[in-house]
Amino acid sequence: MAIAVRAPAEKRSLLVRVPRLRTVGLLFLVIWPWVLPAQPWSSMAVAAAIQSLALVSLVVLTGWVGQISLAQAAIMGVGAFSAAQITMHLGIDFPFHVPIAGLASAGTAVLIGLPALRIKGLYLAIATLAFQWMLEESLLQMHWFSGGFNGVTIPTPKIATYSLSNERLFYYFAWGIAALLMLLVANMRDSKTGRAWFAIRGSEIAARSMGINVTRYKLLAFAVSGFVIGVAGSLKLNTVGSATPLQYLFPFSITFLALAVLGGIGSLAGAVAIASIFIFLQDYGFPQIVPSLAQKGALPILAAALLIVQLITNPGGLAATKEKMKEDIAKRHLRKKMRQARKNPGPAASQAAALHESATTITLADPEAAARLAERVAARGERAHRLDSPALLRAEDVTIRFGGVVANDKVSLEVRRGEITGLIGPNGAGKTTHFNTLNGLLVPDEGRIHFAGKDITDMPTHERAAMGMSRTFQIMRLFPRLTVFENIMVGTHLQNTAGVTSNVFMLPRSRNEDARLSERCREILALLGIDHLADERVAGMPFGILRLVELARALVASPQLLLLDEPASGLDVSETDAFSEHLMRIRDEMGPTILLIEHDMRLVMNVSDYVYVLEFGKNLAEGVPSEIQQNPDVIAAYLGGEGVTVG
Amino acid sequence: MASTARDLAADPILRVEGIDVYYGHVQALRGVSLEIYPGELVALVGANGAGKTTTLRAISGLLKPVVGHITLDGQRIDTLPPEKVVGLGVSHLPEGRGIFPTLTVFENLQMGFYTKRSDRKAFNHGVEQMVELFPRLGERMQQAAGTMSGGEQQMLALARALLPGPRLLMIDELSLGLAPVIVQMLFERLKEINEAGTTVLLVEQYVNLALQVADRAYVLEKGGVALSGTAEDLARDSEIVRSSYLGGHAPAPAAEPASATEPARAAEPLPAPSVVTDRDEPEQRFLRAVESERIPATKVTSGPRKKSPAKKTAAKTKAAAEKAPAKKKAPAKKKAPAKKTAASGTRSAAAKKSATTTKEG
Amino acid sequence: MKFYIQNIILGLPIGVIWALLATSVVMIYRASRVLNLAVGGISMISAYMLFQMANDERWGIPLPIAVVLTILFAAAIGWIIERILLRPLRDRPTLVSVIMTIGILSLTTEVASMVWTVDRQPAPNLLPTGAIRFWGIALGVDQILTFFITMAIVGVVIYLFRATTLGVAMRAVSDDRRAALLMGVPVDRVSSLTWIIGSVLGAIAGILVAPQVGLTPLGMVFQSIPALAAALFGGLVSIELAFGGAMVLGVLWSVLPGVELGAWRLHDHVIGVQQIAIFALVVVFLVVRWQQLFGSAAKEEEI
Repeated sequence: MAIAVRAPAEKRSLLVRVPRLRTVGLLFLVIWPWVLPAQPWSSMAVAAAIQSLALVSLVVLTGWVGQISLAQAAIMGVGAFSAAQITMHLGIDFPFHVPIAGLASAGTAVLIGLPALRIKGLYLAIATLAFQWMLEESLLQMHWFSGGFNGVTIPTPKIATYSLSNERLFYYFAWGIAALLMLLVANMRDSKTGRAWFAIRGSEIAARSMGINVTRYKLLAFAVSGFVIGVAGSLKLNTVGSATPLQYLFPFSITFLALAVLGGIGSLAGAVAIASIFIFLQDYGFPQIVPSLAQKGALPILAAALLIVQLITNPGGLAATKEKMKEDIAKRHLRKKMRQARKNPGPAASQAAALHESATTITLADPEAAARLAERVAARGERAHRLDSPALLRAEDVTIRFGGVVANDKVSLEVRRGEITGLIGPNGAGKTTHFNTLNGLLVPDEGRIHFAGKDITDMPTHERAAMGMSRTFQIMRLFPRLTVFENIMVGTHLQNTAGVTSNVFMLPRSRNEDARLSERCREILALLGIDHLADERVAGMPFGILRLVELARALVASPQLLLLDEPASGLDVSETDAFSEHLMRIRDEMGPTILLIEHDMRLVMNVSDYVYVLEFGKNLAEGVPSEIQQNPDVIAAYLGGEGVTVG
Repeated sequence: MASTARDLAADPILRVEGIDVYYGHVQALRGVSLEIYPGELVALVGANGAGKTTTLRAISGLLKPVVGHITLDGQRIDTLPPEKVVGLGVSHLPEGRGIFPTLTVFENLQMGFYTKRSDRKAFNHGVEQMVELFPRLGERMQQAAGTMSGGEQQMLALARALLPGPRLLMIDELSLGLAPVIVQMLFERLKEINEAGTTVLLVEQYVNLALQVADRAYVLEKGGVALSGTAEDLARDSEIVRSSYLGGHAPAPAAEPASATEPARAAEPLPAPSVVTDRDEPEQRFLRAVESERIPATKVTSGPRKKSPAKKTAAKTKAAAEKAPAKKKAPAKKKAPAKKTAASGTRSAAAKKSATTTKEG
Repeated sequence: MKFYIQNIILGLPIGVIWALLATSVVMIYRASRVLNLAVGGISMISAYMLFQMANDERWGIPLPIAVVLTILFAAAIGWIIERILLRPLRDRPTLVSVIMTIGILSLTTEVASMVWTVDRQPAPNLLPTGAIRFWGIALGVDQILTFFITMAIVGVVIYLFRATTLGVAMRAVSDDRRAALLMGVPVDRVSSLTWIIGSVLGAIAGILVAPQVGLTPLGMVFQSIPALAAALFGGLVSIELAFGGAMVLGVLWSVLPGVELGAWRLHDHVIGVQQIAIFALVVVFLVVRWQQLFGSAAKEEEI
């Protein structure tokens, strides 16, 4: 499933950005209910608002945070019945019971959100499925809450003297509330909160390493999602005037999910579009065109069938269609130019060729890089011994056991401030395990870890990140559909002081923080020489560039210590040289201390000031690179044949 | 690079020609070429991430090369799915052994024989042979493979790969995670297997280990073949191999950048071993002896099965040196010393029995 | 005491159907790593097909033939799902396959609702009706027969897995798909076959239970939730454990409503107590199993 989330610049559609279009559009939206007959048009519009909100709840939860929920219908029901109960027993009616309904649903959603902290992916699907089933057979059947089988009825709401059973009037309320909620949710998406959510969806481990408190953000997502669909439920209650459990059964949960995926699971606009289409077909289109099939049933079948087809053919849903079309047009355009160029070679031809080149191949291999690298290595000179500077990171006798295997056996190392330290060793030596311990993903069975003077052995990952420890991963977790710039902005999480409320309402603090951090991101990109790619989508870029993007993301947090996990993996020789050169430049200009795991000796020996070698989970040797290269123990460890003589 | 010693009239069993292999859009192999002749034991060595495993996967069909081709006895196999390649007689023992942990030893062997499963007799016969080769397996026929030790699992993996009598046996990291004693035993068995006629392509991280059993070797670096040669040549040029793994020259003036990836053919002047270790492993002694005295290193062969495990390296070197001239003609394969001892009564009986009982493994 | 014994006996026929569905789920998960959330849908639509064939005089199909045709129908559905709907999704994250099964579930449910309406239909009785009374309870003859038939079927499946080459191959594929490929095992065909058998199992469960609980679209689908819980109890890989879990759940289902806490009878005060209990168990299984199966924090499921 792709997240069809757009770059900030493109997020507001044409309609919204051009002022004149905006006014005309708004005027239209305000006036049209009086032009067309109330039935069916205004009531369809209201239904579309409700359906849109229901889908938006899934866009947030599943599209942005990656938590699948099959319980949305029941949660919506909780909202509806809560509103009804409040009206009947406390006399609070529309519109004031709307937010309360939202809160009730939010609470219910958080109930399933708690186990969701431990349960992921398809297992969460089972859990939410069971949750839906349980709710609809218990809470939604309880007479005092839902009125049992017959449901509840509420008196017609009134605002001042106007009865809101007037669909036209209600339309304004319904869409006003819906639009407001969607705007607030969109604000969250465009801010630090949204970025944290995407990070969680992409990789919880990477998110933690960037300082994101995954628990908090996940629960927040469930709460927001619940609130939105709870509001939808209360709106529905007021439209129909009553609510019965039959309206909130399991098939609706599935239809919501199916429609959300069809609309492009990550897109708000897509959700609104598909919801409107669905309602139109359901209440007008099908009944008019195929009255025999119009008995409810035909449309959900269509939705399910379309979902199945879409999953196989993998478009990003409705929302991605526009993008895809643009890409196809651009591609065709290029090909046409190439064909023309081939027919009449000339300056235009080479231009087109160059255009084609740049569009399809972005190369990192910089012929100068090797030479610059050589200069740096030479300038650094050969250290005869280690500088006597304080240790920034110290691991003491770290021991880690998995079942019967001892992955790390009293491993100790020290990383000095300002140095680049390498950690090498043959396969299975325990390097990555050690890294994971330094990072906080694993807690050692024995031993201590000290960082910047503090004992951090038991500190969770996101707190270590807050202390200034940043990490990259061997298997990169970047977001393919986001741009380079957006990917890196995720890394600014810890430096962003805006709070959730500020993000929801796009208060100045939120906007200022984003602006400040955007600047920083551009700086880092420039430092690494990839700022010209900032607004390109990450998908399909050469590996060498992706490694740099990942490095940039780790750097924006201005870390004290940068942990690099096999950064040269997948790079060829020239790319490795370029990367090495970048590393040294970063160290010189930005000053982070670096600890890296690598198999690529070229990289390690070139950039490292000091090297540790592990073998079979134990410290084998340490020293400056040239010592290590000639150390017989190390040679034996790599070339093997320890104590084995075949004969 | 063909060894002068080989019989050039024979065609290679396997020929890999200039393959490029990608994982997604990451290039893992760049123009890799190699050949394996019947009866050889060829080693594919190199540092982690060099592309050794990828090469095996390309040969067995798990990955498809984008450029280049692979032929088995003249037939192109790079377009075939793995089932077909296996059916043609290529056995691939993957890294991590690839045994089925919830299946018993016997069931694992059954799977090894899947491509010929209709031939019950041959299967039983094969199992007998494997039990002879690895008696420990015979004792554990009904045991769930996942509960065995690493060494036993590796034995099982080897037995399973051998069972269908493959034309080409490819092994990925035989020694990984195993104690030296077990590694020694496994490599000795491997030698026997090779001498019995099975052609072997061995991927090994540990160069020195591989060179002890191999006829020839290819050294991979960053997805390309950096060095190749006979085991003798490579053992002699150990400095080059070392720098391919660890980079850098012997201590050189600071101005010179590390450029260890140039595929160097000529042997450079060898540095004097700078540090003498306390543990004077027979291994190390042997290599140093080779380095300083430039004795053409010959691979040590296992003659008839020896009873005593410990062998004096020095004595072997001498014996090998004496045999050297005769050795040069080597790899037109030696006849397999008749290994079948007379009906190893209890063992094959046991094997037969477990073949017919119903399991509740 | 008597109450509990009675309910244990009453619970077994309930649990055994869940066991059959759970077996189907486990089989399919082991061979293809896909959690078949659509098992309830396949089960349901097969029951409806049988109903349609048996009840429609125009078609004039005698019941035994109709049963066979229904089984073939289920087999075909299983094959279609694996080959056409799921295979293209192999390289994509697992969540996509899960959503696909959800889509299939939805499709079957909605089609059934449209064609046969949500009203309860009279499912054809394959087994003699009538009841046996003993120990103060009434147990339907069909329930008893269902119990033994299902035990037999699950037994056959377990035997298939353990004693036949195909079964060994299936287990091998579920242990390590790539290694199985390297043995020359036609992994794709094994997957297909697993889905076919799994669907047939689902169909049998459906046609056996439909007369007992009533043929409605959602009713049948909801049988699959306790089945999923039972499968989870077996860690999604052990048929035996799933079977045991299903039986326990069946007993629980039967016992709970009548449990008395002091002066309270649970059923009178907590509606849906069975569903709540099963939901709680599902969560517990998932959370506990999650720790067990997916150990250290560094390991992560691809979503």
